[in-house]
Order: sequence, then C-alpha cells, then structure tokens
Amino acid sequence: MPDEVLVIGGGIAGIQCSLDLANAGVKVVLVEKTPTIGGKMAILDKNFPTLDCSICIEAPKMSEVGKHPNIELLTLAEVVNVEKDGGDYVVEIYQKPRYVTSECSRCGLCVDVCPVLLKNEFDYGMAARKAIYTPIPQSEPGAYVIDIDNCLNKPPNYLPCDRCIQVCGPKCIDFFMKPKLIKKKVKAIIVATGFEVFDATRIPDYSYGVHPDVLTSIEYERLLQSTGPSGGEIVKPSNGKHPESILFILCVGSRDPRYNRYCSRFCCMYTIKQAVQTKEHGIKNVDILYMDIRAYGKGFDGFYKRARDEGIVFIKGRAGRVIPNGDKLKVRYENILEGRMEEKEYDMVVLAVASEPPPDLAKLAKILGVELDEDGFIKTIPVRGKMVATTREGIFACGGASGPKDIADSVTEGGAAASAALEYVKEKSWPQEEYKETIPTEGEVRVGVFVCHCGSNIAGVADVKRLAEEAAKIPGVVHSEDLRFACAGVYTKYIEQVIREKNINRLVVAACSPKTHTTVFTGAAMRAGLNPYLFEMANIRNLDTWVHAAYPKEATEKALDMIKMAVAKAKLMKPLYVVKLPVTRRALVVGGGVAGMAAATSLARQGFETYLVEKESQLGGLVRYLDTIAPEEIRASDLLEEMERELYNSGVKVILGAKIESVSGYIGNFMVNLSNGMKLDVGAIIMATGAKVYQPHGELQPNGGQVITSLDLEEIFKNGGNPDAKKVVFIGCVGSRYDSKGCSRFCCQVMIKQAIKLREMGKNVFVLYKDIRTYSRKAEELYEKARALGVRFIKYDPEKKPEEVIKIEDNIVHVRDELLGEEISIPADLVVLNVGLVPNDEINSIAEQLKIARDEAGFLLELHPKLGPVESMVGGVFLAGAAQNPKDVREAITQGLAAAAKASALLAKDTIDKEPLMPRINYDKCTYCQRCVQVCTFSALRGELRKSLELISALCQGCGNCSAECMVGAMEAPGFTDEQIIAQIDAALEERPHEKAIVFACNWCSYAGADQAGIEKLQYPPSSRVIRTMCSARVSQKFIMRAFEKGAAVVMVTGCWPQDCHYNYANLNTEKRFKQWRKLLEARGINPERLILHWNSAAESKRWAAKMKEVDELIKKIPREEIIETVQKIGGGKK
Amino acid sequence: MSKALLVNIELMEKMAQLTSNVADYCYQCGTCTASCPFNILKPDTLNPRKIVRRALLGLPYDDGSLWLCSTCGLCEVKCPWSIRIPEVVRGYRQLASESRKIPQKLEEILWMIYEDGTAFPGSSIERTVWTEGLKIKDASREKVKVLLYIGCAVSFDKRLQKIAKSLVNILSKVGVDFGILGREEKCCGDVVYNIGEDAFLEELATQNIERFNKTGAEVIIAISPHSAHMFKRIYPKYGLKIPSQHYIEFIADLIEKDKIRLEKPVDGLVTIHDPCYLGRYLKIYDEPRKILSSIPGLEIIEMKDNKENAVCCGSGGGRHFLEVHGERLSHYRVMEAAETGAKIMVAPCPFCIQNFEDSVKVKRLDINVKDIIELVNLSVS
Repeated sequence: MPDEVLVIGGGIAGIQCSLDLANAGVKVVLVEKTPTIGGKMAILDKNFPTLDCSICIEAPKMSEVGKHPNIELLTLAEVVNVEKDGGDYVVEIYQKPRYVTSECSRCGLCVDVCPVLLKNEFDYGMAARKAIYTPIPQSEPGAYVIDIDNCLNKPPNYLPCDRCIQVCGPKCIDFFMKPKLIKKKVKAIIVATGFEVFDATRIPDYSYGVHPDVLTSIEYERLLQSTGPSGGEIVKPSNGKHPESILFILCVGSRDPRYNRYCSRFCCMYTIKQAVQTKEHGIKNVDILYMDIRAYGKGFDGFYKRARDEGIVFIKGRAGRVIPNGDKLKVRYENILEGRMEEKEYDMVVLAVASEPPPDLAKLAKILGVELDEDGFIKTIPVRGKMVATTREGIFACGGASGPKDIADSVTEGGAAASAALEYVKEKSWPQEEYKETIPTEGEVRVGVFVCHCGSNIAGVADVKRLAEEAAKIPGVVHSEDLRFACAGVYTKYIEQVIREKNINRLVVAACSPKTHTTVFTGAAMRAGLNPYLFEMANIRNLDTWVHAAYPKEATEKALDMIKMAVAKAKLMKPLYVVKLPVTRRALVVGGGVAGMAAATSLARQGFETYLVEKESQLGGLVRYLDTIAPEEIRASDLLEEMERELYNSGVKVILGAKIESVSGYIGNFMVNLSNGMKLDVGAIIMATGAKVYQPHGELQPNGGQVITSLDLEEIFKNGGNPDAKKVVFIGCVGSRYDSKGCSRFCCQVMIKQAIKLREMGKNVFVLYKDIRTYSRKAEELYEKARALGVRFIKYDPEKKPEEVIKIEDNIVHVRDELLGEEISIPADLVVLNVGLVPNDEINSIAEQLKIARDEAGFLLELHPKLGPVESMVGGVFLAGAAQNPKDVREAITQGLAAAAKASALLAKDTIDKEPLMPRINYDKCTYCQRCVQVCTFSALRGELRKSLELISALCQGCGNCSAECMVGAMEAPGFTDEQIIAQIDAALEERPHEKAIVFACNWCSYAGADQAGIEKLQYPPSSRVIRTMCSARVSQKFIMRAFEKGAAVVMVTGCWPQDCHYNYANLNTEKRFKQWRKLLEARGINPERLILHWNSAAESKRWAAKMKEVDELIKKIPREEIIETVQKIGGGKK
Repeated sequence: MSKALLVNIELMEKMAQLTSNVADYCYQCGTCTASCPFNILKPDTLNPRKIVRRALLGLPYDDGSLWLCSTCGLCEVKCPWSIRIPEVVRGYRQLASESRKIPQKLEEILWMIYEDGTAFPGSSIERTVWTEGLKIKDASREKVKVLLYIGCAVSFDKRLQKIAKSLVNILSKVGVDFGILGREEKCCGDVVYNIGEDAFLEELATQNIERFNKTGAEVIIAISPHSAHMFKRIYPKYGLKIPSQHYIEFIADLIEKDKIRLEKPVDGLVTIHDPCYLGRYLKIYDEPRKILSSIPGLEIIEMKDNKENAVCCGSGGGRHFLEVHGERLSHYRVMEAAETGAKIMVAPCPFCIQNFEDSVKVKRLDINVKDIIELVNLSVS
C-alpha cells in the first residue's frame, strides 16, 4: 500500500506542500476546515512586488490540487485525534457535510432562490452571501456549500424550505448527508494552518469598529479586489464616496509588547503595494506611517522606491490617535524625520494588522502533541530543524502556522516540509487512469455535439433545441442533442455511451468553460475509448448566455457560431498523446554550503543517488567563517559538524575541490564535466552556489586596525577574542541597498547579535542603520534585547550610501542622527562595517551554459518570485540559498530542502509526462532562418542559420510563440494549428461578419477574465467571437489578415499583462508583432484602429466587459463599405 | 561638523543611572510626542521622544521646554514600551538642579519651602486658620490612629479649605480617631521632587517622616494626590514605614464597610476627571466611581478621555508655580467636561480644582467643579 502524508491547511503553503509531495509519488490527504482551499492568498487582490493578480496565479495550483490523482482533498474537515502507531500516525478526521454533491454545475440558481442573507466571511463581512453559496468564484472543490447553521433546514427542522432543491437541475443538493469520521494512517503530518489577523478593536485609540472608514488591511484588500464587495472600487464604507486621502498605519498590533512583540514581516510590503494600487486608482494623497520599512526581499527595495517616486508619502512615526471627525478621520502623529507633530485629516485609515496564530491552533497542537512557541505559533526548530521540524518526530510545520510569512517564504517552507516528510516515505504510487483507444480516428470524421442547458443558465437565454438542430446540419456532425446538465454524472455516462454506440471520433460540448470542465468530458471520452485530445468545448454559458441575458436572439446566434467554430476546429483535430521523456534518476547539487548540504542530504535520504560538488577543499561555505548563528545563538561550527555528519551518513557522494567545467542537456538529462575529469549524467541540478561577501572599498573600508568588517569581527569571536576597544560603532548596509542592489536580509540580525555580544563584554555600542530589518522569527526580539542591554541605535539617511553620510575622523564617527535631526559625533575606537552579500560571479559560465537568467542585481533568477522561488526558468534546474538572493542560514537551509522536494518530484519516475503541445517541425518547409529560436523564451529551440533546427521537447512549454513567428508554416502547434484556428475564424465569420469582432484570448488571463465576467453576469454586447490559444504569442499575422479578409469589423488580441505572462514574457512578442501588424494594415490602406491589443488579468472581469462594449461601439462606427473594401484589398492582394 | 553634538558616554551612563535605565527599550516611534497634551493644544510644544533620544545618547538637554512638562504621564501610558518618560524629564531636571540651571521662579519656590515649609504664600501660623471652630486633634501633641495630611494648597486657599472641612466633618461623624499636624505640617516635597533637587528633598522628607513617626499614626491620609504619591512611592526610599492612602481610598473603604451612609440625594449629572497623580501614578480609578455611584440621585457620565487617558489640568511637575502662556490644558479639559452635558465636574485634586474653576470662568461654562468629598458630605445624613 502506498504511504500517505497528512497536510493540515489548504492555504498556499499547504497547497505547495501537497503538490510537491503528490508529484513525488506520495498519497496526500489534504484537510481544510473551510469549504475551499486557497487560504488568504485567494482573497488578496494583487501580490507584491510584482503586482501579480493573486488568484490568477493561485487558481491553477488550486485546480491542480483538485485534479491530482495523488491528493485526497477533504474540505470542511478537521483533525480530531492523532495517535502514534509504530512508525505511523493514526489520524481521525471529522468532516462536516457539504450538503451539495460534486455533481454541482456551479450554475448558481440555488443562490438566487435562497432566502437567507448572511455576511460573507471571505469578504470579511463587507459583502453578503446566502446560506447556499460558493466562498469565492474560484473555489476548489467547485461544488457549492450549504451553511447549515444558518439554513432554514437546520436539523431537526424537516425541510421547511426546499427552494434550492426545487431549482437544482442536477439534483445535487442532499440534506441527508451525514458528517463523516475518517481514519487515516500516515507516515508524516504537516501543519499548514496559516494565520489570522489581529483584532484591531484592541487598540481603542485607532477607532477601528468605531468609525466605518477605519479598515484593516485585509478588508482594504477586498475593496481592491474586482470580485470583492465594492467591485474593485475604493470607496468609503461610511458613505460610498471615493476618498481623496488615505493613511496607512503600519505595525498595528505588531512590534508592540502590549499585543505582539514580534514583527509580522510582510505588512510593510503589502502596505506599499496597497498604496501603489491606491495611487493607481487616482487617489491623490496616500500617506504611510511606518517605524522601519522592512523591504527585505528580492525586488522589494526597488518597489519601495517606485512607491516613493509615484508620490506616496512615507512618514516615519506611529499614530497616537485616530479621532473620528464627522466623515473624516483626524490623525495625530509625530513626523519623526521632520521632528514635527502633525494633526492631519484623512478620508480613510487602513490598519496593517498583525498576523497572529489562528484561535484554534492551540487545540490542534494539543491533538498533535506538538509545542507552541511563546507567541502561540507552532514551535519549530529553526536551524537544526530546518525551520520546518516541530517538537515531535514526523510532524512538520510550514507557512504562517509557525510565524508570520509572506507568500514566497510560505511556498518555500511548503516545499521544505514536503522534502522533510518525503524522508519518511517508502512506498510511492502513481495512479493512472488507464484507457484503451477503441474508437477509430482515421478515415471518416464523425462529430458528436452535445448542447447543455445548464438548467436555465443557458436554456433560459438561448434556444438550445434550435442549437442542437442547427448543429446537426453541419457537415460531419453525426449526432447532436441537448442535455439538461451535461457535466452531471448521469449525462457524462450517457455521452460516453453515445460515443461508443455511434463511433463518434470528435466530441464537441457546448456548455461552460473549458478551463473548469474539460476534464469532465475528456474523462467521458477516454472511458468510451476516444483519444482525449479530440474534444472541443464551446463556452456558450460564460461567454454568451450569462453576459447577453437581455438578447436571447443574438445570444442564440452567437452560440451557434461558437458551436460551428468548435465543430470546424474539432474536424481538423488529430489524436495526441502525452509525451514521455526519459529521466536520469540522479541529482547533482552544486555548492557545499548549508543550502547545498541540506538539499543533498534530503535527496539522498529519500533514496536518490546524489552528488554534491564543492569547489573548495571543505564544506560549509560562508558559514565556516561565522562564530554563531543569529538569532538562535547556535555555534556555526557545531551546526556544520552536524550537517556534514548527516550529509555523509545519508550517502551523498561528496566531491570536494572540483568545479563544473561544462554542462549541457536539459530537464531529466544533463551531462556535466567536472574539473577533476569526472563526468556525471544527472536528471536534476540544484544550484546552491552561494554568494560572496561584499568587499568595501573607497572611503569606508577596513584599514587593518580601527575599521574592520563584520566578518572580521566574527573571526575574532570565533577565536574567543575580545576586541581591544571600549567604544564600538557598527555601520549597517555597507554594500547593500544602493542602486539595483537590494537588502541583504541577514545582516541586521547579525549586526545586532554582534552588538549584543560586545555590549555584554561591557563596551559602549552604537549601531548606525538605515532601517532595522529584523523581520524574521525571533529577530525583533533580538533587537529588543540589544536595546534593553543599552546598545544605542542611530538612523542615518537611508537614501545615501554610508560613505556619503558617515565620516570617520581619528577616534570619532560623524553622522547625522535622523531621529534627532542633528549632526552627532560618536567616540569610537572600533568601527565595524556590516557587509552584505553580492552575486558569485564565478558561476556565470555555468549559468550561461544552463541558460539560467540572472536578475538585475546579478543573482540567479527564480521562475516566479512568489510561487516559484526555488525553481529556475530552466526545467530541471533548481535554486537554493544565497545564489538566488542573500538570505540567512535558516532561510538558506529551508530553500535547500524546498529545492530538494522539486528535484525529488522530477526524479521520482523514469519518465516525466508532458502535455503534447510541443510544436512539430516540418523540415520540408523549414528554411532554418532561426527566427523561432530567437523568440523562444525557454530556449527550447536551437539550431544554426541555414543549416539546422532542433526542438528540445523537454524545455518546451507549448505556448505556440514559435508557430506565430514562423513565416513558412513549418512549425505546427498541436491543439492550436494554423488550419484549426483559420477554420474557427472562417466559421465565426460565415454570416454577417461585418457585425463581429474576432477576439483572441490566452488561456491563462484574458480568457479567464472573460470567464469571470460571465460568473459576475456583467452584461456586454454579443458581437465578439472568442478564439482561445494558450498564449497571445500564438496569434500570427495570417490569423489577423484572414479575419479581415473574411470581413471581420474588428480584430482584437488579448493576453495577460506582461508581468503575468505564463510563458516567461512570451507575450512581449505579441506586443511587438501587434505594432508591425498595425503598420502593415496602414500600408495596405486599412484603418489600423480596427486591430486592438488588450491586456486583461483573470480577475479584471469589469475591464473585459468594458472593453467589449468599446469594441462594439467601434464595430458600429465602421461603415459597411470600408469593410467590403478591406475584404477586397486583402483578397485582391493575395491574387 | 563644528555644530555636531558630541555623544557623551559619561552623561549617557549618568542618565541611565538617574532614570534606572527606563528609556533603554525606546525605539523612537514618537507615540509619546503624538500623545503629549501640550502638543494637542499647540503642535511642537514638547517633544518627549527627543528628550528620551538625548538621554539615550548622553546629550545635554536644558532648554526651556524641560520645565514645560507637567509630568502627567500620558506619554507613558501610550508608549508601547510603557517607558516612564517623566522619569527621564526628572533626570534632566536633576542635572539642571545640580548645575543650578533651574528657572528663577522655581529657585524662589525652593527657598520658600526651605524657609517657610511651604511653596504657597503663607506662614505656618496661617496653616490652621481653616480649623477655627472645628474640633480636630493636634497630632503633634497627642497620639492619633489616623494622621490627616492637609497639604499646602488646601491649608492656605479659601476655596480648597472646604475640601478639608468636608473631610473632617465626615471623619468626625464616623468616629475616626484622626488628627492633623497643624502648624507643624510642612510641604510634602512634590515640587522639590519634580524640580529634581534631590538633596533638599531628602532633607525635607526625612524631617517629615520624623514628624509622622512621632504621631504614632497607623496610617497617613493625604488630600492631594501629589502628596499621596510622595508618601506612597517616594518616601519609603527615605525610610517611611507608616502606610499611606489617598483619602478616596479611605472613604471608599468606609462606604464599603457601611460606616458611611450616603442617603441624601444629590441630584445631577456628574463627570469625573482623573487627576494624573491619582490615576496614572497611583492607578486609583475605580474608587472615585464607586463613591459617586453610591450617592443617591447622581448620574455619572464619562468624558471622552477618561481614566488613564485623562488630560492633565496642567499643574503637575512644578507647573503650578510657573506662568502659562496661551491656551491652558485646563481650558481644554473643562470643555471636554462640558461636552458631556454634566453640571458637576468632580476633580479630586486641589491643583485640578483651582485650575478648572478658573477655566470654567474663562470659558463661561455652566459647570460646578467639586471635590468628591464635597459631594459625599452633601449626601451624608
């Protein structure tokens, strides 16, 4: 029997952890107490510092969890008992009934009729929901849920109200569902229960709960969210008006011993993000009241600067009081850097509330038998336990459960916890849906069309009978009929039967979104014996009946067009097969610092043959030069000794004193040559190459005497020394936070640790800093300890480099104390320069050979700053430790583990599966011009001009960008071929083309945004015909010209905002091409304004609807003659 | 860099010692400055944060604003670290006293106390004028169980004498064995303490303790919260062993034990001002409310800023003896009281009563300023 692991909590940490485990072959039981997974991330609007749409990037992970054959998702469930049984934990899980079965088609009719109106807790009570509801539109699982405590049918009431049951088409509401007690035997448990927000009413001076325009940050986030209570409008809850001035107050309930001593870590950044968004909404005065700006992560300082450049005012200070004054709020604070007391009026105040342990965490900890720390979070053993080990063997914690953490750090810890749990797993499993292809696909094309009513969602607007009748007339269609709920179990079984009986070899379902329902129907196809890639959906609900409710006739016409388009495409489809790529099941870790050692040890313990290559003759990296590790006060040498022992015991093959000479290959198959002549074939590479210590130069540099670096001081401590000085001055941020170089993360706590040590030796210690960034667990407490001991902290100008504002003269350090607003002179007989980390340029050549990109500061670039912090852009290459960005020892070790989890998933099987979207090169047509090679953002194509072209399937992500670039049609994009798309265009424009716009939409954002507009029933005119591709970069010139040639009034290309692109900025090519197309149109005398480019995030439903209205107006303005002329110009030009 | 201030490590250490390191935790958030009542009246009048800053860096601080602080302690209540900022102010005042850099007016006050035993114009003979016609034991001559410490302001001010008379009336009625020091009573030293003249304070306190000890009293009851604070918190350092109370604690206890019966109704809406030294310093918040709520007919209404958030009248920390320019804190406070609609403002502190009565007149408000004991006296049958 395969081994199972229990994950408690389905926020982003739990999701990442579950996916890493499941991908590595572990059966995961994911327990979530609310009706949906997604956690806090799912209700956020955007993420810092990239301004990614939060749900857009999380939803794919959520649905991956829902679909994953290795994950058993239990929502509305809680762990109630845990007992140890030998090496296993026997877990009892109590699951409350959902009262709605998984057959729910999310049509929403039940919600309309439910008479009970309640506050929606997912909107923090700012909007309403019914007793039957879906928490968020992207809920996973998707079925609605009944809040039985508030439902009129709450037992023992015997169905006094059955309105929902009456309207439910698929009959999926079941009030007789019973709670379940589920027993599981698991090898390991992971706690990922997240955090709760501080109750701001505990600080009466801030008037939260007294004045409606004082909001918490999470409430404000909901206001920003376009699917939130105000539809993305920033309005004052008191009067619904737009505010003109907003004040953000930081550290509300954090860094305050009356509430929480600790720093909540991510509030600075999300507040800056909210402020930037606020400014974008056109609000004039945006002020932030802060104590220290803790912009510690990659790109954070840059984002902080951007905020200042955009006119957001940062005021150092802490609010004394927020006083309601009519519909305004009067706030008193001291503007510290100006040394001035202010009393200012604002329209709104947003409180960045502390992150706290959830109220029921203590209960869970008791059940699990793990300890809590003094703040009530799950106690983890940071350095030795790699941040994720709890006080009980086999139980791990990640994300907010063990202390405040941002998304990226939660994702990293989720991976690390997965890796730690993987060490307990022996039996792995790979459930696969077996199917046999029995339906012939060669020869006659036999299309089956099924038109779904979706209750009244479709049938209430469009004439579904007529649609089915008309579809039957399309050549090639051998079966057509309408079904009440196509996705419901009985109907999918029926579809399966029809396929079999009528030998249908192309399946078309006209229903809802392919994004949510494809697998339902491909499952039916496979069970019937049909290749799953011979299926096409026409989204006549989200893109049609939901958004054109007032135009039944036009909606029916549009639906018919959509069915014709789907049939036209389906007829040209060919069976496709998942591609299996071979994998060399061996890992290479480059770099023997703590990150590399952690990664290698974990992989070896999981049973993988693992090599670790270190260029030096000994292990340990930079940690070798340290005395102790802050804030835990562990001796660095003890830690290294322990890690080395574990490394060798785990069976890692350690190669010292060797460098990587060259490396080639791709995911699953890398060939590595070492400087000692060894050759290694490996499937995965972890880059744990570390960073270098910044060498100060110029006016502020070590002089071999009075001025030393923090590393020199560590050396002194390490040798048990006591510096011969009575008065010591530390200077922070030497080599950090200037130009594109961000914060080095670890240095503040190191500096404070050293300051404490010197103070304890009886010295007078002064610390010169820009901002104190003790954001990590127990680091703020270290800062507190230093102050309590009498270490003095002096803020210097954070805008300047230290050498510009600090002068050392004889035994005096001169600096302007920004807190006092005066120049001061500090007697000093020792000055310690606290140095940061800079990129390790020795690895440049390996990075280039592997095509790993570097960020603007020169560190290795991660796949995604939030959700892919340990992956590189290159498949099979993972990042750990300071190679990616400076970090402290704990973070480096955690990242090492997280990288190991990723490698583990890759190496778990002999082969890896790939969706068959890789292009097929037609060598007869190819001219080897290399244009495709130049545009591929994954380096999946390589070749030599006029000579060769080669596709490295393993690297290809299937965006179709190359196909669009190819001038000779030599790159076929399976699933989205030129012929298929042209057939769709032709079908769409068969009738009255001059009234239509052809709209290309990318699978990830713009199509999802269109779907969302449907979910929200945002009404817009029915003139658009949408063609979905994976990426907007698939759209080629011939499609544009074809659409105009066929008489389309307008052609629009839509896609993700460039930073949201799911194909590594492939859509920048779209933008480039778009400009050329417009020029081309102009050159041909065609009004280029008829071609539109539009970026739309998955959450920007209103933006989509508004654009559709705009397009419709444009269509109406274009004279018929102009269109005819265009048709002739292009058609004529061809001849 | 010529203007640069030199960080003086000796001074830094001295300030740390004078203030028992109270300021060390400060992370310079400025909540103190934002909360200081003087800044509410007029921004940038006082910057407690910078006072702390200077202490932490061993920098001198001797400009006029040092003497502006009324040591009300609101900053301390608002400080996330509950730093006793008034201690830092007193530390700097101690330094100023050592180098004889105190305002001339306060210098004169010290001399008055030295010579006359009081900072108020009046001689020791006049201390007992208010007792004429009353039968009160002279504790300097005979043993008493309870020593009632009247305090200078109450002894010499006609208005405030009513407080003493009310208290004496009630104590007599209940049959408490009490007495006063009469002409032998001397300044409690609150102002000396707040000027930071510690050597003189020690002398004064030692003498007072000797006098107290002679009475054989089991408990000392003070009328002014300032005196009560001195006896409870400061005198023990100089050897006072006799327990002390503010009269409110004593009266509340008698009411609780049913020794005092409040039966006559006193009609009206009353609001309570919590004097700094009674509230924030001695944490006596519930007793005044308990007493008032046991008076039939009285209805209590709280001010916006009450209990530990109460705004100072402006007289603490030696401010009573210094000129006030511009708007007064007491004006602000009586306006807050008037906002409640109350007709009576209770302020159990002689300094507060003096200030509020002036302010009520200036602001032409229809509100009566009373000490609690005066209301109790009205209600006693």
